[in-house]
Amino acid sequence: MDVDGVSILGRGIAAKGPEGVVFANLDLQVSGGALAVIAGPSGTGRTSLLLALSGRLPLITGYLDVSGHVLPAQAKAVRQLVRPARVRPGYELEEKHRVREAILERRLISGASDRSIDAALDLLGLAPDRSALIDELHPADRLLLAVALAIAPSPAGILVDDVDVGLPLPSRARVWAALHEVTRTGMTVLASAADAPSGDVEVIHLPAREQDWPTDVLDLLEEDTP
Amino acid sequence: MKAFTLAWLELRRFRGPLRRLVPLVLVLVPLLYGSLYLWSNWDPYGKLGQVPVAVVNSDLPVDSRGEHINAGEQFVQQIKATDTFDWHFVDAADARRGLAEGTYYFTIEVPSDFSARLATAADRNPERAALHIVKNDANGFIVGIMADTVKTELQNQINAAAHATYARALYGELDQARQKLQLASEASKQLVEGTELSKEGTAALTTGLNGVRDGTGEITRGVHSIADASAQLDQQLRAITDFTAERLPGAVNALVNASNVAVNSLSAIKTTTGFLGQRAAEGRAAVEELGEKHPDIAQDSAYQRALDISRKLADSAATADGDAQKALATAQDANRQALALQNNLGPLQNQVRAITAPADTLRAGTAELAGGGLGITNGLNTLAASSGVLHTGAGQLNDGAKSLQGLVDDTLGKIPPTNPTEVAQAADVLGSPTEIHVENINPAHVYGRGLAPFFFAIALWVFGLFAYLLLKPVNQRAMADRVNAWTIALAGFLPAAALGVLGGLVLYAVVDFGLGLDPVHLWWTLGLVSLAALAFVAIDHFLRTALGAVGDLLSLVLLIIQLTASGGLYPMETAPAPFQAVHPFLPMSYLVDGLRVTISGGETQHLLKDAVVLGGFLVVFLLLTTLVVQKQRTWSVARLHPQIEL
Repeated sequence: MDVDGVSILGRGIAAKGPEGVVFANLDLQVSGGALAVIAGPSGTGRTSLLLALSGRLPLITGYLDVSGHVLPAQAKAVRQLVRPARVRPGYELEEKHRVREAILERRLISGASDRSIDAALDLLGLAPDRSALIDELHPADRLLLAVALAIAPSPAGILVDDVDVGLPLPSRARVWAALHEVTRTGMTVLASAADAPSGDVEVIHLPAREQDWPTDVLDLLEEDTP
Repeated sequence: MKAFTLAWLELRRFRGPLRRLVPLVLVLVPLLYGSLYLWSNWDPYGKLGQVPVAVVNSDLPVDSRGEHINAGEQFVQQIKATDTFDWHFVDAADARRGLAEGTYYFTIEVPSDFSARLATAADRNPERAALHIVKNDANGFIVGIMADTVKTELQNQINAAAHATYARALYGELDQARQKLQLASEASKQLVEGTELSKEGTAALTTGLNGVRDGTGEITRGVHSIADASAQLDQQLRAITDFTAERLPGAVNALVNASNVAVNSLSAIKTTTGFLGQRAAEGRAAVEELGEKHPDIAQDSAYQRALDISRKLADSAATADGDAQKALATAQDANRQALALQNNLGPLQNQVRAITAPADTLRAGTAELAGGGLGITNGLNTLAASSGVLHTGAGQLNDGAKSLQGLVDDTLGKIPPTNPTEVAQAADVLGSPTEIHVENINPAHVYGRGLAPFFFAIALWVFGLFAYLLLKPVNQRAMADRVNAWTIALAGFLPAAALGVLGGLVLYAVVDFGLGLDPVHLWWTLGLVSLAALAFVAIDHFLRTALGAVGDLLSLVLLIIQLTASGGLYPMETAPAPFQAVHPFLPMSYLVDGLRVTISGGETQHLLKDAVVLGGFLVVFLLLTTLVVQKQRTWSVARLHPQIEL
């Protein structure tokens, strides 16, 4: 499993929702095969940024290039390169499916073979009971299963949202270690967490969201939109 | 107080541009349902004037008893003046076709014998005229009920037309009866005149008979006189004989002369009495002949008397003739003896002269007898004339009576019967002279069966609405992966679709076995229910996928709009214009229309069109969902963190 991981370059990117700006004026750089962690407290736009980096959320301004594909024009190609393992909310394994059903689903939607899925599970050191409900798995196993299913078809990058949420400290270390293991295949891992782990990690800091953005700044941002 | 504050805090949760609207929308839900429903059904009966109904007048006018009866046309004019329904006056073929196709909600047909039956009003057995109302439950069940409610009104109108026709027919009858009675009156006048004439004739007859009687009396007296005179003559002649025996020689000459005279006189008498006898016999024969000719007169006592008298008269005359003959013979004998004794019987001459007196008396009596005979003749003449008049009078009387009888019989035949049973029957028919036959080319029979299409449609729509509150419209993992949008849309559609078809079939099975729906076309019904379930699910799937919770709200709005504008209850013509305008764009309209055909029966063409439209909805909304899925591969912050969730 050798993958040419995506590299990302962003300059002054911003996103906006119905209740205001989610993030703005953000510069970032992620090299291929890196474990990039978007660190910040909940509600600072980590999920939105993950989606934006994978071509799944339109920006209102800024420059974003993913492995030479400029967004938003080439968003479709970027989406093919970067697959979500978990995005909250919206993209998670179905809790009431059994493990084998989750695997079956993944084979259907991604074209991954049983072999590649087994290889991915091995890579992450997982051996889940195939008849267990996803719900019944340990949160770390649940997350790692989602990662395994995402990496099985060998995408150039994956998204892993909320890595440390709801996980006890020992499990966090295990998950981070597993994600490091993924990057060794060359795959870029884009993760989000409240706190970035130590070690070989490219950290993107999101500032705590300010409640009141000046209106003129917003106007300026919107005017810059191409 | 705490509860109130907590309640207020619950409402304070709804902040933000869309969320702010949530309490308002909740407040408006009753308004939405109640007002739309009431608006569309506010006054359907008041708008029946917009409901197209075909009127067919096949009636053939008739002429009966001098009256031209065109009750069909009259009925048409009468309903033309009303706006109960939107009447279309068409021929039978157009009406039948329009009814089958749904152009007309029902048809009213005036059959060809309508006038002819009404014209029987004055007959012995009047017949009810019938109208035919033909409904079609494939065009809606409630409009059929509406037709029933106006049936009474129609019947009243038709009866009014019929009563007018009756009145004319009966007045025509009365007029004719009056004419006949006039003729009868004239005939009876003639009869009265005839009777008058007959009375006069009878009077003349009586007078004539009296004359006969008087004449007969005179004859009787004359004959008595003759008899007396003859007796005297006999005595005188006896005296002459005696005298001749005593003083024959002296009187013979005189006797010869006298006896010559006597012979001559008696010859004359004999001639007279002979004539008299003949006439009396003739008189008797005449009277007898009269009796034979008029047997009725023969019974009359006066006639009887006359006959009796004339017979006796004839007998007496014959007797007198015989006596006269004898007297003549005796006189001739005496004359011969007198001639022999002429020379010596001279003195006898004077005494024989005395014979002259009784002979004179005899002559006078005979004259009287002749007068009496003349009286008889005159009397009989009068009698004959009178009986002629009487005969004519009687003839006229008979003719007049016959004519009167004919007229009275004729008029009687035209006066309605008075037999109690017949009168009761006729009164029944005349009281309600028309009946309305209602038939249904595609009967639903019961209310539930008639409204099943509507409630099936609601049920299936509600299913779609509920389905995606519980099912996920889109598999997000598939969407983020390498699956094409069509597959994702179909994968999101199929679970609800399958459950919807199953749900529809379960509903069908329960309604069929439990309530007895018993559709005309079983497989079409099942197919259409399944197709509609698919189409409705596709629409709800699209709304939910594209708009989320707002899509569900929209589906709810669509539900109420379709309840009011799919034409499931009242004919669309009775709904306000906006409902009529959206009607053809609502999928439920086509399910309701199609199920009516499959359950009650009707035009298969309708069914095909409905199936095609529902299939169209299915395909179009699946494609729309596909487009939405394609678009949703890119998230928005709004979708990531939806403001309103169900």
